[in-house]
Amino acid sequence: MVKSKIGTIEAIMLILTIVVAHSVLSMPTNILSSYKSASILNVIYVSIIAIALSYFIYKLLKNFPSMDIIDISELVGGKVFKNLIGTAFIIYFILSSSLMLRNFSESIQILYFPMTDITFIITLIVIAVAIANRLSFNATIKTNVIIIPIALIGLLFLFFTNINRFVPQRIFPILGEGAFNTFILGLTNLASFGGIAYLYFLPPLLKDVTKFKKITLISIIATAVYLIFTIATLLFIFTFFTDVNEISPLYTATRYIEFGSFFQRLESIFLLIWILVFACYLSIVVKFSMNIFQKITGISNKKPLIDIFLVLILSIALIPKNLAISQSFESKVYPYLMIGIVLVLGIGILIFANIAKKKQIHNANTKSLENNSKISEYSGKELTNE
Amino acid sequence: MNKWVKNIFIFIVILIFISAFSSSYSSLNIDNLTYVLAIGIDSGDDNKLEVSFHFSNPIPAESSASEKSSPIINTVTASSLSNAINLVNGYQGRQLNLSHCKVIIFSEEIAQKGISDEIYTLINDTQVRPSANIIISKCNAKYYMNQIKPEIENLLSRYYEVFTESSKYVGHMPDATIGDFFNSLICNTCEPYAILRWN
Repeated sequence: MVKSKIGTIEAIMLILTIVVAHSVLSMPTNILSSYKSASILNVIYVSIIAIALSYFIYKLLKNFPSMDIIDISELVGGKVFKNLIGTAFIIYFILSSSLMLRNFSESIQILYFPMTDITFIITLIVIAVAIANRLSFNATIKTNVIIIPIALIGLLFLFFTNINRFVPQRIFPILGEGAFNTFILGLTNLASFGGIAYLYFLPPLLKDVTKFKKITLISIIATAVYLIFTIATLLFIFTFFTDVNEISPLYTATRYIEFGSFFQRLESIFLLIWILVFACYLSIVVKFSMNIFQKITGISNKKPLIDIFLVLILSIALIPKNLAISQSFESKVYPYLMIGIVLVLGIGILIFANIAKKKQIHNANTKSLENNSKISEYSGKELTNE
Repeated sequence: MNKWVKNIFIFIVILIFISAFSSSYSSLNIDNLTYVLAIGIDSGDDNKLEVSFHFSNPIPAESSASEKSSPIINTVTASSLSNAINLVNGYQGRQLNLSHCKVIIFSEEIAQKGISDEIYTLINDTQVRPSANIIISKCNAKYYMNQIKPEIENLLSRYYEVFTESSKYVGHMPDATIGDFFNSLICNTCEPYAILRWN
């Protein structure tokens, strides 16, 4: 069904796109305002759990090579269940991406286009994504391979150029607002690892399925390292993200970069990189949503779906009346949506599928044993008759 | 026929976007903006603020190298800093732009009353750079701005930018930026500090 296959590096960059796109928005602010000085500790703790969970997902998917969660759900509960799971994942992808597009567009509007209607900014990004999606999936993936390393180097640059402003003592008190807040309530921060959702759909897209383990572990570890660097940069520089409703904390951090009076205002370059990252993120979301839709409906040509999904994204992005509403989705709804659909539902289906497969194998073994014993009994009887 | 329809559609889309973004081009044009180099805040009557804006002098390029720019200072009385900016925007032909504001001066009198509201307003303004310096003047902020006459620098904007550079080699002048000031203002264990000037 899928003609273009993706390599190991491309797959890793694809997973990283999700965290880079989310980190540009209010995700770091939400972490910092929830866990305060324990933010880094919380990110490390959540990263360990996310790595363990993604390894567990790999183990569960290993028994179904070249199958994604939609195919597996068909095995578990038939066509109706497959359609339900497919719809749930499409809703998750489209809803989260469109409201994040709204947040991102609002930031661009506030910073650079204060007189322009938000509809035009969102439409402009959507048109760019529509053009990108009309090309093959490899076009998006290869652009990703160029843009994501630049974004990662950008973060390292941001970290090291601001190092003279760091106050490492800001990690104290080490447990922030207490162990319960950091470790129990802090589990909702697993939503930062939104890339896990795409792991479920990767195996059929890979050139070499045997590299899936490598892709899973490297991408999630890289996501964890990226998050730690992001949170460390912000925590060590600022004290105020809990009090000020900043547009994007990473953008604010880039405003502090100065090399004498000649190299200043580098935030524009960062914003350009992030716009490209965001376009890649939307392209990936649309591509995966189209793949799921094609699987649940069985249509042969999915190209006309590009416009339908993008119009859907545009329409949902325009629903919130203001930035506060779309930001509250990101902080209050998105984490539970991600944990509910991706972690609970996704892993649940995989566990059931594995149990069902084991039962099938067990039944097949017992049947073959019974057959074997029947054959041996029959041949024994024949021998005695003779 | 199909090609014609496609071309017409592309043409219409381009037209829509040109018209949509044309307002941004006109508002963020160098011809329509006035760049503020410094803001001075004094306390006025009836608990109001007396806000002075020091504008850059738009001297023609040929004469800028030799001539020293004379300060253009505009003062308004308003209940808050944002109102003062709106007031100036109301009667000036050009829109105020704070992206090149290097110095924010508070009079000692107003600093003693507390300046956190003004600092919040400034830090939330996307145009104000976190590297802008905070000065507390013993005299009136407006008087201080009028008295600044750099002897070596030709351009006042350049002077505002480099006058805190001495903090790197002399201990008399701290580098007190609004970013650091706000960080310390919010932090429970820190004390914000600013540059104190007599003039």
